Order: sequence, then structure tokens, then C-alpha cells
Amino acid sequence: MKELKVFDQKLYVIAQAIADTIVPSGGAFQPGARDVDAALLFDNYLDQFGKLPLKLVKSALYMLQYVPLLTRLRSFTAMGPQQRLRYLEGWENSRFATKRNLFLMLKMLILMPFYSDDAITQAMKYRPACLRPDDCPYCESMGQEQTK
Amino acid sequence: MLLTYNDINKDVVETPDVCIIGSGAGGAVMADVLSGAGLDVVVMEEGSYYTKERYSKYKPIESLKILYRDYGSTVIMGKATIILPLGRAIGGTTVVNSGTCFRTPEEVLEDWADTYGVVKASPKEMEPYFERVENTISVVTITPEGLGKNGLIFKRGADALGLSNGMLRHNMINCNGCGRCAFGCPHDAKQAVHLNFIPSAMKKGARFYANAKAERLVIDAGRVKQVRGSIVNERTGNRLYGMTVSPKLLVLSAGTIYTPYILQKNNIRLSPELGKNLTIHPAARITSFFDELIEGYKGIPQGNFVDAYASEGIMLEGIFVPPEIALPVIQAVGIEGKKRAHEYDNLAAFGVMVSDKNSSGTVRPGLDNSPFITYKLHPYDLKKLIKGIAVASEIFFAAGAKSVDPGVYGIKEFTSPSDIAQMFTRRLKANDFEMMAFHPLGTARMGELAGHSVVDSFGMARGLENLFISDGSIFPTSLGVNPQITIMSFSMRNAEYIVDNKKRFLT
Ligand SMILES: Cc1cc2nc3c(=O)[nH]c(=O)nc-3n(C[C@H](O)[C@H](O)[C@H](O)COP(=O)(O)OP(=O)(O)OC[C@H]3O[C@@H](n4cnc5c(N)ncnc54)[C@H](O)[C@@H]3O)c2cc1C
Ligand code: SF4
Repeated sequence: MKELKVFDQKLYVIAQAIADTIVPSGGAFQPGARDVDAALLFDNYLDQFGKLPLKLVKSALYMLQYVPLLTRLRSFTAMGPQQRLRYLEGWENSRFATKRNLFLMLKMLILMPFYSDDAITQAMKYRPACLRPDDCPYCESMGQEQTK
Repeated sequence: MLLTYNDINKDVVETPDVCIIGSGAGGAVMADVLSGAGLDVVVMEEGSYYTKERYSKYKPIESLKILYRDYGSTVIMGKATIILPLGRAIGGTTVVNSGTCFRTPEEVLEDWADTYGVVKASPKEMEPYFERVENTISVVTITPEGLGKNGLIFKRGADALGLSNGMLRHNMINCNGCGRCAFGCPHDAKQAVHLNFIPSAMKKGARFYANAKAERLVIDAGRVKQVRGSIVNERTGNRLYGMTVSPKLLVLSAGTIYTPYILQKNNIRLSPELGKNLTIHPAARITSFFDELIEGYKGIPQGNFVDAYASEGIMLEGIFVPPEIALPVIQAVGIEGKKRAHEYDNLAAFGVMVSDKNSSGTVRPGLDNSPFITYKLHPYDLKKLIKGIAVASEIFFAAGAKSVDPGVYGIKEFTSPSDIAQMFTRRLKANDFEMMAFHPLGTARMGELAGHSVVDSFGMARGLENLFISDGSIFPTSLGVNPQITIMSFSMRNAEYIVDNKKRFLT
């Protein structure tokens, strides 16, 4: 069982709510953020982040959580699923580049480990493979199939 | 000899003829030529030593952590935020680059001579160096079979529009087409410098220290007397032991960002131009969805190009990345985002990069013990980027695309060629683009005009007798093509200059 390395419980809950909205369970392939604990994967991926970028990530998480208190009178985690989705779409499509970039940074850091997870690649039926069908140490060591 | 932090259990003290900081395109070639001339060479490399067996074990996102600086996301600030991946390993950025090889365009060499007074670097004078470098790193032209469908589709579109295009030249032997070039080639097919110049230098006696970070340069009476640094833990970066090198000559090959940074941190100014004139080849990735199965990860990710607009400073080159890198940037969240992600096998992608002769940036010491990089994209260069993205979009439609995502804020996707006109009718600004850059150059530019250059035509620093610079930082302008051959060839030439003037520099 992996443990949190950089977030406290509070940040973990915020990260979980955001991840769950970005990649919910169901749809084109079944597993979503909750099924693979994407918030934990996100936390663990940051274990070698520099101090300053880590501060930025944590601040961005807090901003996403608390900015809606001003505009919607409730924090992100207190919103329902549809409201959360619309709120994040608002960040993704904001006319302010800084807001868009902060969201893109979080989205990338959540989705990179998510789409790297074996359960997700299997669910998506993604199998990296090379063009040459002969012996391929990379494919073998990654447990991947070769294309014949 | 190659030592890593694992092999070291006490402070390191060295007194070689030459100390080289950085083992990438510039440093590796320098080490090979100097050690070949009988000089005692020590190379300090902050990054680790990785072999194909080690790369194979890592997923791409792990490779970003270990083979790159800042998880591959070094940031350039400015009106637009631009991501600048920088390699950090024995072999430098050549370990993670795409393997594309271009000689320096003749008009660029001529411009350097005419405008910056660079001597002895005409196309004819550089020719033998290009040839030797290309032979050493095994440069070949890719065949269409190596492309994979992502490249073939783009070729089909370019041919349909009658646009000049071709196959790229790469440094590779027996490529498997596994699409992992940017994460360390697991087959040792890509001939990065840790497979040729570095072993060759080691055979001649050069000592390479991995996990050896140079920090302080001690100056005495107009000369670099000592380099002080640390042997660091591979994973944490924490200091384990000290390292002190007292060379007769120091060569800085820490790359375009870290070479000026090291000098600035040590208050060595050399010239008012140090850290300025940064060019980066701003780049964008255009993605497109097709009905047909593409599986773009099979094949060489950067195998072909479209150079129809090269004379305008616009190059289109292949690019394809695994899902964990490609899917997070798709503009959609929730169930819609998952739907798009699930179409990964039908996704095609291609890159646009522009020659930024009018724009420039700066490197200076920032907070957090890292450089602060800024860049101002000139409207003229922005126009080139817009045109490049429009051309790539047209090519995708000509190849049969269902939709094209130009990676521009406010445009979700083009669903027909007529939508592309938006690129010109909207007032697009620099920060509307998801920009990246892979070719930083110019922060310690060479030339013979003292006030305008940081080093002379052979990389010798102005104001310090025993310091040379040999990496991407010395080039006065953007090249318009990928720079590794240029960096290696100039490093070879400059190393020979040092050897030819041994008495002067090494007494
Ligand atoms: C993803 C990617 C793809 C690319 N594709 C291509 C391509 O296809 N073709 C092409 O021509 N170019 C390509 N490039 C660019 C090319 O690889 C670089 O321009 C080239 O390697 C730069 O050479 P350099 O010697 O200036 O620096 P580098 O090769 O970056 O080497 C500098 C080295 O110095 C080390 N260093 C820095 N500071 C210190 C310190 N304080 N102490 C010790 N060591 C230090 C670094 O760790 C690094 O290993 C690509 C770049 C990237 C990021
Ligand atoms: S595509 Fe070829 S050069 Fe690139 S990583 Fe795979 S085998 Fe190596």
C-alpha cells in the first residue's frame, strides 16, 4: 500500500475531488481516478519536485478549492459533480492565460501518472509496440506485446 | 573511466590538464578530441549514467524524472509560458533528443561571418567537421518503412498538396521503431554521444564523473584556478562528498541555460551580452483525429519533414509521444475527455518550429537555486508560428483527417479546411498557444566584435585566459534546423584549436 509523500490529508482530498472530475469512472473506458487512486499517484509522482514548483502545485490546489467560495459560496469539494465539471471547464477555457496554465499544470500532473497506470492502459487496450517483430528487450521488460 | 556517486566514498580531488563541465553534445566531443591529443581530461556531469537496460525499466513519466531536469518542464516566462525540456545525464540532452541531424545551413554560417565577424567557419571550412561527426554518430537517412503510420499520413497529405517534404537524417543503427527516442532509446539504436564520443574519450584516458555538480569557479589573477562542486545522490540530489578540480584549462559545456547561469552565479560577467540573446526555436504540436487506425507510437517519432516554407523560417517535423504525455493536453475534461483519450490509436501529430531570428530571451539567476529564463516572442516570429500551424492543419485535412486540434486557446478544433482561416482572422496572441522549445542557443555568443560577443570565434572567453565555452550557447543566431550536429562540429573544431595552441592555453 503506497503512502502519501508530499500532500497532507486535506490536500489529498482536494486532489482526489479534482482528479475524479477530470477522469470520472465510466464512459469510454470504465476505470477513473478513484479506481486507481489517482490522487495518490499524483502525490507520489511529485516526490522529487523542487521546493518552489511544489509550493506552486499546492497553491494551485488550494486556489481551485477556495476561489469558488467567493463566486459560488461553496468550496470545490462541497460542489456536486456537474457543478465541479463546469467549474473546471471554466478554468480550462478561461480567457486569463495564468488561470488556464495553472489548471493545465495540475491536469498534466494528475493525468500523466493516471495514463501510465497499468490498470488504465489495459482498460484502454493500449499496448506500446515497436515496428520490428524480432526480439525486443524493451517490449519484453515492460511486459508488452510485440506486433507481428 | 566513468565513476558515479555509487563508486565514490570520499571527497574527490583532481588536477587534470582540462576540466569540462557537462557531457552533452558539446562536452563529449571536446573530451574526445582533447584526450585524443594526449591531454589529461576530467569531465564533471551533474546527471546520472544510464544504460539501455536501465531505460527499458522506466515508463516515460519516470524517464522524465531521471533523464531530464525539472521533470522535463523547465519553464520560460514571458507573455507566453513556454516549456523547455533539458536533458541531464551522461550524454546530456543527446540521450533524450529525437535524433534528427542537420548540418548548419550555409546561409547561417555566412551570416555569422558577415554580421558577427566569426572567422574560419565558412561552409567549406566546416565541411570536414560535419563529416567526421556524422561518421562517428552514424548518421543515415531514414527509410519510409521506419516512419510508422503517423509519418506516412503526413507525407500523404503533403504530397497531395504538392508541398516539398522528405525523410530526415538520424544518428541511428538498427532502429526498432519503438517511438521512445525522447525517453532514452532502449535499443541503443539512437547513437547519442554516450555511445560513441564518450567511450572513445574514456579509452583515451578521460575520466567522467556522473552525479558531479560544478558549483563554484575560483578565479585568481585573471584565470580560473579551481572548480568546486559536489558528488550528489542520484535520486535526492543531496550532496554526498565534495569535488575539487584544479585544471590548467576549463571548458564550460553545461548547455545554453546552465553555462551562463554558472558564470553569473560566480559573478563572472565576461561581457554584457552574457545570458542575453537566447533563441529557442518556438514550437507547437498539432494533433488530428482520423477514422483509420494510426497507432502513432509505432515508428520513429520524428522521421520526416516538410520544408516547403523553410526559406520563411518554418519547419514542420514529426513528433509523437506515448499516451501519458499526449493525452493530458487534450482540451477536454470529464467523460468527454475520456472519450477523446480513448481515440488515441486514431490520433496523428506533427510539430511546427520556427526560426526566431527576431525574438530573444535572457537567462539570469533566479530563486530556488535555478535560472530564471524569460523570452519575448516577436510578432513577426509569431506570424510564422501561426502560418506553420495553418499549413500543418491543411496537410492533415489533405490526408483525410476528421478534425484537427491546432493547440490554440479558443479554438477547440477545426472540422473542415475552411475553419483554418480562423488562424488569420482572430487576433491571436503569444499566450494563446501551447508552446514548447527544444533548441536553446545563443546566451554566450561568439564573434570577433568584443563588445558584442562573450567568446571569440573559437569559444575562448573574453577576459579569462583559460576558459572556453563549447555548447549551444555560443551560436549567435537561431539555426532554423535542429542543432546537435552544429554543436558537435563546432566543439570538434574548437577542441582542435585548443590542441593546436596547446602551449598558449595549457602551460
Ligand atoms: C526532447 C528533445 C528533442 C531534441 N531533438 C533534437 C534533434 O532531433 N536533433 C537535434 O539536433 N537536436 C535536438 N534537441 C536538442 C539537442 O539535443 C541539444 O541542443 C544539444 O544536446 C545541446 O547540447 P549542449 O552541449 O549545449 O547541452 P546538453 O547536451 O544539454 O549538455 C549539457 C550537460 O551539462 C550538464 N550540466 C549542467 N550544469 C551542470 C553543472 N553545474 N555541473 C555539471 N554538469 C552540468 C547537464 O546535466 C547536461 O548533461 C532536442 C532536445 C530535446 C530536449
Ligand atoms: S524509435 Fe528507434 S531510435 Fe527511437 S527509441 Fe525506438 S529504437 Fe531507439
